[in-house]
Amino acid sequence: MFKERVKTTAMILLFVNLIVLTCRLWFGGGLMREEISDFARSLPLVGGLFHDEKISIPREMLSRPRKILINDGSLWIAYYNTDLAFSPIENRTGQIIRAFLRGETVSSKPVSLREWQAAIENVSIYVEMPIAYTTDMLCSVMGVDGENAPADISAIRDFVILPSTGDTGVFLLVRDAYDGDNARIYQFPRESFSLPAGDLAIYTENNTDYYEPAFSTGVEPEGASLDPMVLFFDSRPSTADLIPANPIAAPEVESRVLGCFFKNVDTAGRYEDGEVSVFVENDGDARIYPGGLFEYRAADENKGVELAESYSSYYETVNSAISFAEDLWGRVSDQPLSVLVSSDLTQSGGGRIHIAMDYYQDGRPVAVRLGGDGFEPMNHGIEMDIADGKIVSYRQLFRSYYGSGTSVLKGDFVEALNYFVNGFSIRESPVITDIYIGYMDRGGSEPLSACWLAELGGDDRVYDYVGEEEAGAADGGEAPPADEEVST
Amino acid sequence: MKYIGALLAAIMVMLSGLSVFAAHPATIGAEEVSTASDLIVVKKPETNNSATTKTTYGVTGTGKNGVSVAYYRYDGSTYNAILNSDGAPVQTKIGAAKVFYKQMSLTEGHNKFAVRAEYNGLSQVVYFDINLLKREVLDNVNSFTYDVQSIFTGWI
Repeated sequence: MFKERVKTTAMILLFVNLIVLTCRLWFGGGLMREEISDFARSLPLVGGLFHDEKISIPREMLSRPRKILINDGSLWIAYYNTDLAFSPIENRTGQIIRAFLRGETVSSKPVSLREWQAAIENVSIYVEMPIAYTTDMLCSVMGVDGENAPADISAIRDFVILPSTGDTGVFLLVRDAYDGDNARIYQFPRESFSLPAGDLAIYTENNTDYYEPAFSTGVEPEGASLDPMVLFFDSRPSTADLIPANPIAAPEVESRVLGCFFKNVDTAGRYEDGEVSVFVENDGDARIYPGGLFEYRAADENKGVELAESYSSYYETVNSAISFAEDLWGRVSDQPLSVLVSSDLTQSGGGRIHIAMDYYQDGRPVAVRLGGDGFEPMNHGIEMDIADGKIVSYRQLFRSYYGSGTSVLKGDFVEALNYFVNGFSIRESPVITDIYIGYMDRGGSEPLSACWLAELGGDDRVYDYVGEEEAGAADGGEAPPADEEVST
Repeated sequence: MKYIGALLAAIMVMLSGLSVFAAHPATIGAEEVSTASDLIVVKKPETNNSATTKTTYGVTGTGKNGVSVAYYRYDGSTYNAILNSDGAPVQTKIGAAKVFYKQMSLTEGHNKFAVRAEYNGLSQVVYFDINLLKREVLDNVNSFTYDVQSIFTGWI
């Protein structure tokens, strides 16, 4: 009799447990607790067991650093967010940054730019996010309750982590993305994290690509300033060529795309303007160019595509914008949308929100530069404007990229620097904020070779240098020559 | 006549290319005489004798646009031109940014290098010695690296 009761009780407990877990799975966002480590979350099998969600590359990348520069005391090694070895060091730095955002530091004080750079010169980890965020936005994208987040820095883009010692805990330096003189150092309790300096060698061993921040090289180019964190390097890696394809070339795809913008695609007017298909509805119009450029414009700000409630938070609106772009992409491709948000998320207050995204392929960014008769120059893969929760303008260069063979990058870092400095010298006090390897898509159908890309402070565009023999793409700030433009 | 002209033009083109990169000798002595002193300024290392814990070291400097720069490593008796992976001497021409940059791999102890600049028949050689120290040795004997922890002394 007793045995039967035990069995019955066990059965009831199991049954209740089953119901509770099922409810959590269906309505509670999964079975994994917040405390489960990032490592466990990153395991595809574990993640797949507990979350039946499609991977969202733009959301995923929003919370991941763009690059991590490790100084182990003997050399600098840089990891980019698509490197295979990126996750272990990212998980470790992510824990520290999340703890900072939760307000778990014990004290802080301002630091000078010299001290910031000195920290990077010593054993340290420099973490650079892909864009700048408000503290609230960074908390949201990193899944942290930001109630106690420090409010000393208004726009965050990068951090420096100093290892713990026997006497002190980990230090974290944060600086304002728009005001380099405003930087602070925060200290964690000694018991919070253990990150001994010796641990950093784990991440640098067997790595032969050496990097050096511009401020450490002691040189200042003439004709342009370099951001102190532009990374010098000496290697010329082999890179894949990319073949671009236009996934909306097929006529049947048009209506699928338009369905995201028009209430009734069938009743929309259509006419051809040269090679451009123009679609008109009462609430807005759309244009599809033969090269894959799609443009939508609402008739006025009240008639845009409903994206989010007008009272939605900044984060919710950005999140909805990403979902919209992914839904749209899902109508034309089976592959996930491989883009990164590339515009800073530092807006405060309401008003119109501009969001730009850029393609990312084979671990490297693909910059877009379109210009020509009949449409505004376009400098990103996706550009959208949102007013009161409605998309009032949306542009996308629809692109799928396929890798094809490899080639050695033309030119080296200094050669590219020369080229950019020469091109930018006609400007007043130009500041080159970054130089890196990527691709430039000008809307054509020819394969894209990897090239050197440069970003300039206060300029939304990315400039390219393709090597000495094929130089001529970067333009020093003026519109590229007409013969370089490929009409879309 | 046309052929002779084309041949001469081809030879001139070949020689003009060589003039940029063939001016530097394959080896130089330890006391090469410079005929100019203002073609380049080596910015890093800052002094002729320096110490580091970096196993790979970025040698940097500034110079006039158009100056050709070559790099040499001392083997105990002479300075040999540093070769790239193709076996060709590493030589660069200073451009619009007026900077040069070359990563040197270091071995423990003294590493002697020379940077040679060449421009319009003038040459300048800068010699320097980089001593690769173990981290703990450097911390004991030299405080040229900024001691970050000292920033916070008495603060916590």
